[in-house]
Amino acid sequence: MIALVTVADAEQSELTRADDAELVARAALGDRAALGEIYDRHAPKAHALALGLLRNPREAEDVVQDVFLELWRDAPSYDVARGSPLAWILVKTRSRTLDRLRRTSLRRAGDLASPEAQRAIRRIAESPERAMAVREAVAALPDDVRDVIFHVFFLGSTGPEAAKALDVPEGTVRSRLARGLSSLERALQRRGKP
Amino acid sequence: MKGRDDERDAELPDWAHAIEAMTAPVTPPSALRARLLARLEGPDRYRPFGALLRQVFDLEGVALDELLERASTPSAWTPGITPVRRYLDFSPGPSASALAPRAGLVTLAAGARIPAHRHEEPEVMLVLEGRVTDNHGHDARPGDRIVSEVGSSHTVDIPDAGGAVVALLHGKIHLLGI
Repeated sequence: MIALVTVADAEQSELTRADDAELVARAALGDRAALGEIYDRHAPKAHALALGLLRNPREAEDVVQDVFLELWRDAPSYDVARGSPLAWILVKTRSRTLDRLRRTSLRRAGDLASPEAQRAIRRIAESPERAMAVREAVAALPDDVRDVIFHVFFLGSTGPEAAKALDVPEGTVRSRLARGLSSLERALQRRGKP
Repeated sequence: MKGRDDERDAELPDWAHAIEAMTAPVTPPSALRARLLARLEGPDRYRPFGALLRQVFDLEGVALDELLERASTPSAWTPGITPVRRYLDFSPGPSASALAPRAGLVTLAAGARIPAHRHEEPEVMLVLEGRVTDNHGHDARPGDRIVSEVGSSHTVDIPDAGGAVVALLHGKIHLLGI
């Protein structure tokens, strides 16, 4: 016996979503033009989001490319009932952008910090459940220390960039960073986090 | 590549709509579109069929990536004889090998016909591009599979002007009428 096994059709939805959903369904069948159409419709929003967070055109472009390649790969398993393709694209853009920001900030903070501080950075960063505790501990830091933490970790500033922005010597940036990381570790230990 | 924010995807549709409303679009450089499409023409060409390829051919993650990379390399293909334009052999995984011994990507010429043949071993044909039809009324498009049991026979046609590309798990066949 010879049997034909077919791919299921995409579900119907309201007009705007149906158009995007149908494009995703076509992309799931290897239709590169369909993915190109989705890109033309929604890449500008994704690009604006990535660019606003990263402030680096090349990295923002890399994020946009990664997101649409991920859509291409995952199109067969995309479920329109979970949200529109545009929502999926924006969610993934935010996630991948924040991943890059963390890596950049960690790398730059690592360049500035002592070996002990670098180990503290890794312990903090490798514990996602501590994100809220970290935010609370940062909020409790003295203003001058918190400013350095903010510039290095959240803006991804280098030592000279943070020093210039805060109008302090670079050595002061390093010492405040060390104090901030030490305070964060003690605060997290007091909360019973490993 | 996964980030911690993936855990909060469930709460993000409203956020995503808010971002959509607030964000003024910034069109990326045209070169980015060109790079993306170049990837789709290259190593990521058959990526949407990754799950099916893994399933049918029992390919682990690295083996799939290697196959897709080879498929995008012209020198990895071997010229064939009509109706086969070119083919690329690869090794199926253990459970697929237990079904049929050989696997390959095959480019079939537009308008070609695979003459009537009987399957001496099972065969699975996964369509990646184009259309494949047979004399049983099957009309297979990308993502579809034609599964042939032992002893079955058919004649296969490639009706579209662009030809077809299939991934084939196959064994011995016997040409009929010869």
